[in-house]
Amino acid sequence: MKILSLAFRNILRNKRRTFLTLSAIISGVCSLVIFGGFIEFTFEGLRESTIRTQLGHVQIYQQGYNQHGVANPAKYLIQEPEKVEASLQALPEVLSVTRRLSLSGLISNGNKTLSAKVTGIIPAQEEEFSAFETLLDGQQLDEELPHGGVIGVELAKALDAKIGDYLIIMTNTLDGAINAVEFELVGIAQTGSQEYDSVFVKLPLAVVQQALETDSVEKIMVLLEESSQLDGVLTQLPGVLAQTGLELEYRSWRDMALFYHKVVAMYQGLFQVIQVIIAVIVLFSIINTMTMAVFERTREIGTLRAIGTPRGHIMQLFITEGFLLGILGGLLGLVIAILIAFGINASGGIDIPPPPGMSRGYLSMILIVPSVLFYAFLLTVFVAVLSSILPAWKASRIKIVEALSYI
Amino acid sequence: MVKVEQVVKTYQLGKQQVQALKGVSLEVQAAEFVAITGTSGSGKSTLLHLIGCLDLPTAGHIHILDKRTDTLSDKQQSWLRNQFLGFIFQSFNLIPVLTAFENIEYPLLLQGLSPKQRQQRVNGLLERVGLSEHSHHRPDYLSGGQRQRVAIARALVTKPKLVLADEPTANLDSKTGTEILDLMKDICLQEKTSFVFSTHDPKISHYASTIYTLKDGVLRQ
Repeated sequence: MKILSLAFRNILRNKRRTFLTLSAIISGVCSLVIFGGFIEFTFEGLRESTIRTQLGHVQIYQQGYNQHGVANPAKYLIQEPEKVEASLQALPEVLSVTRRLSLSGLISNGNKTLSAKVTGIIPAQEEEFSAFETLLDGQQLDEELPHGGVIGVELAKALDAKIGDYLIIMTNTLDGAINAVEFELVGIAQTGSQEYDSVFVKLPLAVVQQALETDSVEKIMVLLEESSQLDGVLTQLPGVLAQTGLELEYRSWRDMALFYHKVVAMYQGLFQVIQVIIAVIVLFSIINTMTMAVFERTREIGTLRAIGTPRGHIMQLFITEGFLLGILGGLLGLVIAILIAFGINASGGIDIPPPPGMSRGYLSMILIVPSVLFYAFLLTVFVAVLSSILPAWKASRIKIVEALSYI
Repeated sequence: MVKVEQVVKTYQLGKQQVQALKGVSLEVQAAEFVAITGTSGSGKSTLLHLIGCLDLPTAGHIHILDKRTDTLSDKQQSWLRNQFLGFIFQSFNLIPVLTAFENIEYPLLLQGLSPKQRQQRVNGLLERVGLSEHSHHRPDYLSGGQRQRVAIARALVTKPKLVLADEPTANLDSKTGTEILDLMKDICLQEKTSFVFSTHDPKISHYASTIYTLKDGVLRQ
């Protein structure tokens, strides 16, 4: 059967109606692609900021740290971090490696004492990890300033601290004795999370080690060139770590980024609801225009039936028309959606207000992701075929005699 | 070949029951040229639809090639229409998106003939109805007479045993109508195809081998 060619000519026949159907399909595809591209951008932004400011791609610990480290931190520290770093840096995908040692304690300016989460870092190796942190005042940690520290903006407000002030950190050493270290405030920074901004203190690793009276580190963080290289690196990692001769374990950011996974799950749920809504709207508008087509061509359907066309063929014909409309509208929709996305991105993106718990808004771009395009196209073609079933069935059940005298 | 036995057909028209046929009996032999006359609304079209397997009688039976139409499934009825029957309509009923060639070819597509066989048959018929030069024209570009010729060719392309024509000349001027009747008569004689057609064209007596008149749902010879 030349059913495709017949169906194709039929959809070109009433241009106005085909245009109506196509616009419904095109707006459906555009909404899916734009919204999909928007949430993909959000995922990417959140993923990269989670990785680059907090977690790194992979964290390496002493064996047992994740199970018992909280109760007994002294026992689960990495004794010879240089060895581990050396073997990790041999991997070409690794952008940077840094050591961290953190402590919970109190921060005081002499008058006021607040709780703080102190992270010890190595300033020279830390630049890549701070890509998502904004310095509001002063400067970042520097090798030249062995007793300088950076604190969160909310914490600085609470302590009424200014650049150049001296602050004191009080904590227990690993052996349980009380200890205090002093640092000079050199910078005030903002991470985007208000909660974190009111507790975080960044100090040189050596100062934190001195506070805890140890030479070890808690973890080694690894940052890769690209997040997409993670899976490749993870397969090599057990071998690399075995070479050091130390008993180590590791976790990738995916195992640690609970917040990220929750946001992704929430957005995806939202996206699914929107997909259903769009699909239903497109579904009904195609059913509507298709039913009009069936009415308009009643006589013709009667004729086709009279000269021996079986019901199945009539159904096939209309479903094929729906399928072609789906393909045509889907392709046009993709082209238009991509143009719209380029337009939005070229105009600087969509201004998004600060999300809950964040202190800054951001400009959202629309990412063109092949899987989103493909999925939007597939869904549209599916909906187009689905919505042509009912009109096609009606057409195939037409009473021939009545159809032939239909005007 | 066609046997109509005591056929009754009633319709529901609004709230009224209309009896279009009140016990009609009729037989058509091979190569017969049968005309059914009658005023409009006399049930001519209804009778043709019943013989053409487009509808089933309320009572009575119709046998086509020894098959009782009311025992056939929809699929079998479609098959019968495609294989053994041809239809010609008052307003031609061509498919507007198909060319003359494709309109004539359509019934053959349902039969699964090879492209070469189809082309041979369609071209043969285009020549027979004198439209070889118009094979690539769509119906909109053809005159009424030309369209009805295409319709005749479409009805004949499957080499049917019986062609049913519902007022085939009603929408044509009298000269073109005569040409169409001549053409149908010729084919009837040459191909031994039976024709049953409804008409109120008075010229018909020159052509038909049998003339029936339908009045108030009753058939008279």
